[in-house]
Amino acid sequence: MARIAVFIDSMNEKIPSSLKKKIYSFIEKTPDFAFYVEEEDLSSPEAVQRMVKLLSKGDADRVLIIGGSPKIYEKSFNKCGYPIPINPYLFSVANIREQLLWATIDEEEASEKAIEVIRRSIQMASLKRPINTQSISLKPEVLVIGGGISGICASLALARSGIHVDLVEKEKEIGGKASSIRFFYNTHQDAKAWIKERISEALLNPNISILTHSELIHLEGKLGRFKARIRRFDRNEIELSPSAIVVAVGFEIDHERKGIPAHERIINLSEMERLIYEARGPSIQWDGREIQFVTFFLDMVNEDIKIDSINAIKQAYILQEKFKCKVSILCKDVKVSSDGMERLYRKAREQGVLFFKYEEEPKVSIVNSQIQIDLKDTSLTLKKEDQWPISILSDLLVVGEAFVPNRETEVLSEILHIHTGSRGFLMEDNPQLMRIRSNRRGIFLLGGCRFPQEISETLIESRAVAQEVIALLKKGEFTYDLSVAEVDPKKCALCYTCPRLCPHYAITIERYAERNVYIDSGRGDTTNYWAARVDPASCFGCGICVGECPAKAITLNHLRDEQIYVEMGLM
Amino acid sequence: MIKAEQKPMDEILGYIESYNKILLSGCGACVTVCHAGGEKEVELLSYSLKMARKKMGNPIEILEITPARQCEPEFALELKEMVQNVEAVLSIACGVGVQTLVRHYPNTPIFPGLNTTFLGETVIHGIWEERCQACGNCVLGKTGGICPISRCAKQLLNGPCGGSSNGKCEIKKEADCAWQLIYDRMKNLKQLHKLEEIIPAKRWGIESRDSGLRRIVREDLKV
Amino acid sequence: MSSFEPKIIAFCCDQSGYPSLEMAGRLGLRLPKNVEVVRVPCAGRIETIYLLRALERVADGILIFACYEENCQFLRGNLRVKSRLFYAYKILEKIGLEKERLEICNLSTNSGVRFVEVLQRKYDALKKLGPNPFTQKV
Repeated sequence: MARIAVFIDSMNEKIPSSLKKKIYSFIEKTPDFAFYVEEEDLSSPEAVQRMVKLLSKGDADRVLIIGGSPKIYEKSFNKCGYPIPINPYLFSVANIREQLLWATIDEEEASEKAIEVIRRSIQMASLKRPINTQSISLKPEVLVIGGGISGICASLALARSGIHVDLVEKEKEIGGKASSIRFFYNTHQDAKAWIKERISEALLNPNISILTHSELIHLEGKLGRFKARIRRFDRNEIELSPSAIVVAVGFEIDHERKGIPAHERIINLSEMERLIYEARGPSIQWDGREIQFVTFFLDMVNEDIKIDSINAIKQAYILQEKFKCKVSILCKDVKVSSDGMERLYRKAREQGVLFFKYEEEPKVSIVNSQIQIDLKDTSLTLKKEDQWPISILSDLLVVGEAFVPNRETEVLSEILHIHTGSRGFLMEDNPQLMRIRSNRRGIFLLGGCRFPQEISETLIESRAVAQEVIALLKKGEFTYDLSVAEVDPKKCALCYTCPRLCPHYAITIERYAERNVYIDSGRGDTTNYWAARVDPASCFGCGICVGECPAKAITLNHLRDEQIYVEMGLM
Repeated sequence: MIKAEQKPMDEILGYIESYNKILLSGCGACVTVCHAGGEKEVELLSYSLKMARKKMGNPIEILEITPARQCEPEFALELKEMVQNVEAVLSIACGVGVQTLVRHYPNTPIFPGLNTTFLGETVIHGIWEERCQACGNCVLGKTGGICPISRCAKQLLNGPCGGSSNGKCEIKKEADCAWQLIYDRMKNLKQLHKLEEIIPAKRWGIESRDSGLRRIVREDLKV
Repeated sequence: MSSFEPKIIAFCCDQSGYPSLEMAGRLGLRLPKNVEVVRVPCAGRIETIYLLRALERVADGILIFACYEENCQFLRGNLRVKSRLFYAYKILEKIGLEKERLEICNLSTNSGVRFVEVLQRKYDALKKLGPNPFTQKV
């Protein structure tokens, strides 16, 4: 029989004493009851400490907390930092605060309901089963796909903490698109030299093996058991078994110019970057003629990306300051949401760069070998009739660039079983919280393959990825508890519903116990037939597969049907 | 595999109208895979029937079971004890499973809860399509692996009818014309010349079901 | 009839529904009487059969609080439960029970006010609809 220790969190005397009395007399009558304790604030560290001390005596085998939201207690127990003598999955919480005290009007009714909630929670407590932890060993070996600047920087950071990196690059040399960058917007460093330095650093680092002219063609297994097949330039294949994978395949630039005529005096941002870098002397030349008036025309191809804004303002500032050009920037929005961009924008304006905003598409025409743009400026007013028609003549028109996913992205997403978003870029697990995690545990996303980025952001991200990977691999093992979904292989009909639905690619159809490789997580069963298998290290415990399985072959270890039925008041 | 879908509720309710205690039996094989008769559907149908009957003021008791495969005698016999305790059985296996039960339980009325629809495959999750009619003499070897018996509305063996337009069937506008698929595939495989061979008319009466019950006998396997 | 207090089972996704309940508590908002809260790790955990079982035995109405579409922590849990809800509608139609008794509500973590509003609206609607014939003791 279960022996339940009851802790009553009075939440600083928020529970009326009449109710408390009723609760006490109710739980004393419960057969499974062991003892009860009242605390003023159970989520405080001192109270948790006292609780642990009491529980270590061994008088109880499970715990019921009567108080507030279960999330508070979960948090404070996780934070307490020392082992709690009772398995965390044997804790139940009767939330009488959110659901009752704060919710119902009259006290009589509240106490009636409180008793009902507590009765149910006691039932729940006796249904709970302990859930243990397991671990898999991880090696300090990482596969980085993509040898652009993001992949290189992440590799360097990983290599510095003693992790071996295999860096796979499809081209003959590493460096990627960053090799075409000449200036940083936020420092005066020579970008080309800086990037060259990083590349040679990576080439010399003994912890980094660079596989150029190679590509990933197959990936098998889950976290801790990844097996990656790489095809080299000579069509030979090698197999790697990394413990984590970083995807940094970047993006591609699409030079298609929507509605802008082709003309020798219309160039794009990367051409401008090169022009400025290679300019010698006090002025800028194009086609043997000095350039005086330059206009940047942005936001025609991709409105929501700030790289264009950053590059244009960066270049405009140099043109205006160093080469005494007259520069205008036309855009729908000036995007300055990067570190230091606000300052650069102000400096550019002080230097004399003109900014115009348009909503209606401006007209581009060629007048006497100069480019004329007619637009209605909306920076002062949004009222149509008050907008000023403006004409700008310039020697050179610089247009923005479109960013599209790499050609390989789609194939790669299928090989790695990670998701792609609406525009074909790889999709992060959660854009707000976990930008660098993919939907699969152990696979990380970095840089422009998720979303076109400015290089400074990419560098921050590569450090973040390195940090995350180091945190995962440092302990040499990954420990997880078995609060996951589990398939009963004897019931599985092999319908492929769960592998198709699993958001984390944690379920695959596997031959159980083949060569004794896989051991059924919970019971230690070994069977000799094919069935779906949830990899407990990759499962996040959401329960989607449980709700969908037509054979009812899957259970969620920490929230079984009968537990839900108790909560629903069906039992 | 065999694909099936649930019969209309009213029809099922009609079958079991006069009984107060029945057994609802699913099947853990094909119909589980097509989400029509697995353990989950058993539970759902059982609750739906119980609720419908309760609403009519004539409650019914329903026992539930889902054997691994209803069409094997041994599995069918697993139901024995339960069948003895009920007035009738509602089976949501395919038509084969229903008849396996019928063969083993001569004294209990057995009703189907599903319409066994076809032999088909999963096109994408949630969509199944017919691929085989078990005609008894497979022509796939001559038609580029695409079956004109199950996929052509007119079961034509030597090219499309005049109604094939823009790759679609004239009988079922949303379906691909099987002969268009066959042509495209053979062209892709550079084997168009193979389609010049005339496929003789099928002998439905000899190799297929027109001559009555079909049966396979393997003398070597008999025990 | 006026004494009828509809019983609502509120399934709360751990990412949005439950935090909204906590938020409602902190804001001091009052829930309607007779609300049963069931906490699930993701709305995708909720099975069709739960909805039927609840309507057969205890509840006058069911509300599922899930995350906004395209914002599910588990990618498609909220969409799966929506599909299951539509499947349940079909069953209810065959049984002859009002489908208004079942509803999904998408909200975010901090929707305490909306949480209570939706519950209250459901409560009022159910009060108008009358008791669930299945849970009535004959």
